[in-house]
Amino acid sequence: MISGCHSDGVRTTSAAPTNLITIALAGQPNVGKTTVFNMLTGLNQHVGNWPGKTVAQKTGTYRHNGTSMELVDLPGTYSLTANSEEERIARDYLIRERPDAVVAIVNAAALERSLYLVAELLSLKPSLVVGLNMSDVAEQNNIHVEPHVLAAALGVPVVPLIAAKNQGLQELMDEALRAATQPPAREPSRPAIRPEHGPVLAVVGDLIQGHTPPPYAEDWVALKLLEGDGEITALMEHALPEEKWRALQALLLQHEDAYLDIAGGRYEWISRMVRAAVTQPKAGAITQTERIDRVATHPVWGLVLLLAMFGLVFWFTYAVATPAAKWLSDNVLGALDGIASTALAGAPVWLSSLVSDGLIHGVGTVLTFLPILIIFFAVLGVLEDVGYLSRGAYVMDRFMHLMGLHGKSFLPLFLGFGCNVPAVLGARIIEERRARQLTILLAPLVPCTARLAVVAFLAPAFFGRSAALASWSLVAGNLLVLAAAGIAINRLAFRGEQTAFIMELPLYHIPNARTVGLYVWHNTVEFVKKAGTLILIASVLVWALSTLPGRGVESSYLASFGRWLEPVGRPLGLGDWRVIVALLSSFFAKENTIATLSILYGTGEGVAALPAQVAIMLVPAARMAFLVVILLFVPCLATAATIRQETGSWRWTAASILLLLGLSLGAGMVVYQVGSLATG
Amino acid sequence: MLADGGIHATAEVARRIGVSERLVAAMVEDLSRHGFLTPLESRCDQRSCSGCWAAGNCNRSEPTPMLALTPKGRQAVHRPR
Repeated sequence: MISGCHSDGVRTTSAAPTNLITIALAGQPNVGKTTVFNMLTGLNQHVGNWPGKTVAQKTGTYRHNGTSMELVDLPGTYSLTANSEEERIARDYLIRERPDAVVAIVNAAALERSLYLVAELLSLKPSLVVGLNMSDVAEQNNIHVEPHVLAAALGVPVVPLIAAKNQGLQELMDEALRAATQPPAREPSRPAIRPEHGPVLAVVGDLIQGHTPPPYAEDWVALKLLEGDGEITALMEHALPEEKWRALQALLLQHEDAYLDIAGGRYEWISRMVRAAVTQPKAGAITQTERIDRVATHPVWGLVLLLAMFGLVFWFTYAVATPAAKWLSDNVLGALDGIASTALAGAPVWLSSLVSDGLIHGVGTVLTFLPILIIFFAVLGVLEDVGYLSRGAYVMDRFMHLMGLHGKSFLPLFLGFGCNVPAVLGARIIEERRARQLTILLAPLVPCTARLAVVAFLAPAFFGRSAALASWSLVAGNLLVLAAAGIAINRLAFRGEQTAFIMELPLYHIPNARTVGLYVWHNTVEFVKKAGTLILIASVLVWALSTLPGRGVESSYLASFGRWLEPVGRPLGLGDWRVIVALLSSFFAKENTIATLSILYGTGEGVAALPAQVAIMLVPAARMAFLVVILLFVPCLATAATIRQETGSWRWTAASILLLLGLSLGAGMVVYQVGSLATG
Repeated sequence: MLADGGIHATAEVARRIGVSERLVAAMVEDLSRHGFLTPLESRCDQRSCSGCWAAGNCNRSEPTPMLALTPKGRQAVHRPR
């Protein structure tokens, strides 16, 4: 039961009275400790700095039931290790000044976190009272804390508060006064070190016995030494005789991981307290997330779901985006082509050709990608916002775990899903240079939206009604190659070393239309910018080289160059120089493949007919080989530049390009040869 | 669990050791403060996008927070117990 502050709770402005009881207010940041302090002391507080420190010190007086109290607002700290000045100040005050009582304010809505400080406070053996603040927030979050049960479990008084509403403070001060003036009814429950290091703690205690300088307690000092507390270690280095110090030092060096058993003991204690006193019926969102994750994060079914998602994306793309892209080609580009022809009827031939063949067929065709890309971005955006995409890396890792592999190399690659540049940048998490470079080498194997858009553009003409299945197979195959690459890196670079990662998977929730909309907008704008710059330049270049020296495409400089490379393409079924040149042009941007094909295949039938024109030139096995090569081909210019930046090496950048070139051509050859055999 | 490597979700860890996910989240924060875990900075700071030449190619969505074992953490989990 929480009540308001009684009129006896008087803030006094008189000079230091007799019977002054000192109460320290302790708590983690953001638990409402200062609110409690301000509510109790009002204007009667003094703000200065802790002696010799830059941290603010707040003290105030409060009169309660005829007794004057000095309240000291300790700095907010998560624990009492010497990790920060605030922590050092808080514990030094508690040890040296030994206040008559300590009031620990905890957040009822985050009890697991808050109780850690209480666990540490108990090791100092103060007269302790716990103020269970933000009970209203806890209830709003469906967390119900039983103060009496918690008090019984802890062995110290627990007073529920809503400090912001001035509720429960009278009762808190009642208990604080009682704790300060009367011996405790029973010993509090204190956390114990986990058994693995119990004997070691005992040995440390023996070594420091009789040498601990006052006012420090020996058992507390022993615990802090084993925790690796720098300040206490330095204190004992000066306090101990040389021989004992060396023995202690050797022991602590041998047990640097003891902190885990000390903290582990505290968390086990916290878990017992919370299990006893807290009930939290699971909210709908949590239950729903757990239900979905039983499948979505299952090592096998999760992967099946992930692959099914890809299939769904492609199906949706072909159902919605492809007709829209065709409409754009027929009605917008076709009309633009017509307008340009009319407007440039009297212009020089080269200008007319540049505008029509170079720009409209080149850049224009790429812009008809927009519906496809918008669908991809929208689906990616929805999956990310809903909370599913973060499960992707988790699922792939669990799958690789089944193969005895772990994804230290895989993780940065998967983080860059959708664009290779973040995949390269993601490798920064790998400390070892060689391992990082090897991971970067294979980052271009991540299927990016640009490559997927090219596949999505060509697949309907290449495979008809089987377009979705074929596209899905290609992406699944790409992921298998990525997994195989991860295995290779793991063996070569990490030699089987395992590294762990921890992630907090978000709850699933309804996607936010604005968030998804902004995501689609940003990415679409960037794509249009890319079309207006890189792709435009590349298209003009391709047009120029395919026009000069002015005797037609088949006699152009580009044709000569392309024919010179035809022997490389023939084992893959890609003996047409135009297809080879289109692949090479994808170095500038993957979408350039289409722009180049459009320029080189331009026969006046309109850009909508491009996929069908290319399909006619390639037998079915070669069509599949072509798309396999597109997916595994060399990194684009942006990715290559990022590789150069991150590795600092032209050699590694060249190695990445050559490796992917070899891999894509090899895979393409296998697919073509096997496909040709299968189709007779 | 962490000695085996791989990616672990806090929900999975909580299930395996029989505690609440909130407790695991608190433990992870604590381990991070003590240098056993470190947050992964796998993506660029979005505030610096305007100065970055690769901004146009970047996926701007917020990444899921992830922590990795530090060398100190790896030593601790691989120590025989």
